[in-house]
Amino acid sequence: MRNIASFTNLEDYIARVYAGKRCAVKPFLINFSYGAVAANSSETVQQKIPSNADFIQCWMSINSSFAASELLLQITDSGTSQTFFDSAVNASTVCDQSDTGNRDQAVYRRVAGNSTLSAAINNLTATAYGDLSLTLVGVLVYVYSGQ
Amino acid sequence: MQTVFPPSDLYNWVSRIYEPGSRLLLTDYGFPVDFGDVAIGATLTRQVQMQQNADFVLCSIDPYFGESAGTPYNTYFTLVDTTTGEQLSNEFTPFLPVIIGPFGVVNRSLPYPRWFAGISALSMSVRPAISALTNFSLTLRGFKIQRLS
Repeated sequence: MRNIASFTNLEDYIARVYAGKRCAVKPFLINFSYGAVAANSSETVQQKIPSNADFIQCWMSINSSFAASELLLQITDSGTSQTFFDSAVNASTVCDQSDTGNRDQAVYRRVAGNSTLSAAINNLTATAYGDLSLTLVGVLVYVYSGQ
Repeated sequence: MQTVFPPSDLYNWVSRIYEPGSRLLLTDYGFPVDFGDVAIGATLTRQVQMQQNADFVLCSIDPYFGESAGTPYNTYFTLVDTTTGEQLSNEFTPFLPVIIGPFGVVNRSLPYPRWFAGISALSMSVRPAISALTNFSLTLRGFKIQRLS
């Protein structure tokens, strides 16, 4: 999917979600570093969203430079038990990747502050990865109190 | 969602940050950061000092890998505003998620402009994970804002 929009669309989305409250918005990257991933193995990494801000995800990226179609990905918000996908998906179909290019989202995704995200990678290839990282790209939204 | 920064939207965004009616001069600008050679697994840090007479808005980070064996996939970075302690990422992150080609067909910038006050000091670190960097440099690209008296 290609979905190109001005950054002001993100402001419009935030204004609707937070019902016009005054917010500070700052770009932020959440990285899941897997390091080396052996062939035919699974790895799970957890990251916590900062407690004083929500995270709005704009896109995801995976740094595999080959055979990403054989990497299955599922992300679970352990706070709500909601999953990002119905079941594990090929990472190259939902993440930017060097060989396949941009993979845009339909809309933004909000993850509440203090949530813990658990990202599971299943390497189905017979090749090990020496250095694997998944990155969620988005913004932190700080809502001013008393508004 | 691929983010673009139309100039008119940036003008409107900036005008909301400053006092109503302020006369603002926006000028395209970039801060080069030269790292030189970086060995595999080593972390090299450089400081960037913002100008005193202008604020700066960061829109993209454009690295130059021309002479390096390292790539955007396996070269990690962090960016910290040492004045406020705020970080751009939770940990070392590959360049791939936020760069513009010609690497493959990935084409990204930051998802939202990042405003830095004048006199801010930034600390930028890079760490190649698998392949070394040679004459590696990057440019923090965006625009500066000067308020006219």
